[in-house]
Amino acid sequence: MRHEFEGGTRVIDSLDLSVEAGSFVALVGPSGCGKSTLLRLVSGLEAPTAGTVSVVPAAVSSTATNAESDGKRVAFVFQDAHLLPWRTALDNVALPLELQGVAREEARRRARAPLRDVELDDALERYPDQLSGGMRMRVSIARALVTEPDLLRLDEPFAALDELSRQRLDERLRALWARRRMTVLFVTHALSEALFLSERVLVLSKRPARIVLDHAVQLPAARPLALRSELAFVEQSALLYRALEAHGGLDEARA
Amino acid sequence: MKRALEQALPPALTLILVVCLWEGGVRLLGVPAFLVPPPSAVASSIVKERTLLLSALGTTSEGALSGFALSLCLGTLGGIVLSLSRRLERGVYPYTIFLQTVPIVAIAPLLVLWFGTGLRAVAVSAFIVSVFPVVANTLSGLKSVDPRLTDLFRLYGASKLALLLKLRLPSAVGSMTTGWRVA
Repeated sequence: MRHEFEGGTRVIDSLDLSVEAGSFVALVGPSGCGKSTLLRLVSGLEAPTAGTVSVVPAAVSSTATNAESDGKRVAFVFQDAHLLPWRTALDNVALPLELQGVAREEARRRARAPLRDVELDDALERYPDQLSGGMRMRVSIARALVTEPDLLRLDEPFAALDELSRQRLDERLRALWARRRMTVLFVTHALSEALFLSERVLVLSKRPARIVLDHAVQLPAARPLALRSELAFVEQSALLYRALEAHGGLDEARA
Repeated sequence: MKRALEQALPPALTLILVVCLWEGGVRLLGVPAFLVPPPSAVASSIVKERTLLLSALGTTSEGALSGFALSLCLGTLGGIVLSLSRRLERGVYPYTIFLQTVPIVAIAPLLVLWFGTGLRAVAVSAFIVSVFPVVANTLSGLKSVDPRLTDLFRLYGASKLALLLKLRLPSAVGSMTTGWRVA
């Protein structure tokens, strides 16, 4: 697949990637390398300049190329929570169901479960401006989970949060994935977050993006927060770091 | 109570001072009343002509309010219609901006010719003055929706109507009420 912006800037160059259903894949790379664009392409929000994007759900053999045509299978978590300020937490989570034609009361009923999953059952009727940044992000994740998606894409979801909130959300997300086993594509620029969360880390080069390292993470399935200080974790982190450095991923940070 | 008094006192003093200077100045300099009537003369004719003035005030308020109400309905509707088609917006919007700059004083004589001097002329001029800010602010409010939220609605296959009712109109409320205030 190849993709250019209007005006001919090549963002993604001959990228060939397939992701196994039910796996947790993290994409890391320098800022502005095209990670977010890649997610938008996979979500069907943009069409690639050349090549194809196919989403093949595990249970169905036919290829659904247009994500919009099948709302149930897509879910997207943005860099910021992007909640509707005039809706409560519960109504925000119910929104995707309402848009798919589920009656309002039924949608509100079904929205309770994902809010429980992110431990927000005590904040159902609060409005976004009454919630902390971390809580808003959890509402945003609950909104993505409410349609029980086969594929969840997260675009640097915790980048704006403090380190502690971020690590706790990483832990929650990992637990949710372990329980539901949906396919997750997680874009981040934090190497340790990528390693902690995923089964596979793809390191991308600076623009135009191509894959410079495809790393299968060797860590136990159960991952406590303290794992980050263990030798296996640190060694793999160093491996990712070197790959990023070798392909210009740190140029911007140095400049 | 004490605070309210403290807040009201300075502007009240200014008013009293200005009225006294005005009355005193007119009397001292002997300015004829048809050039600058003193405040006492203004007050006495308000009392004397109160029936006429009150009925005129009634007509003007009624006309202004109905013109304003009409501009809210038609202006909001116009903004929504323009927001639905980019071509229509490009074709029409520049003229709404241009018409907004036409001073009402310039067309008032024409309005009187067309609609007479009564209620209708007042209503039409109120409508003309207020409809353009309503259209402009409704349109800009509808258009300034967070693009990520539009993406979200698209991802879940929202219809154009759902996008308008559940996202664009609620997002535009702030900007629309600004338009009403300006109007």
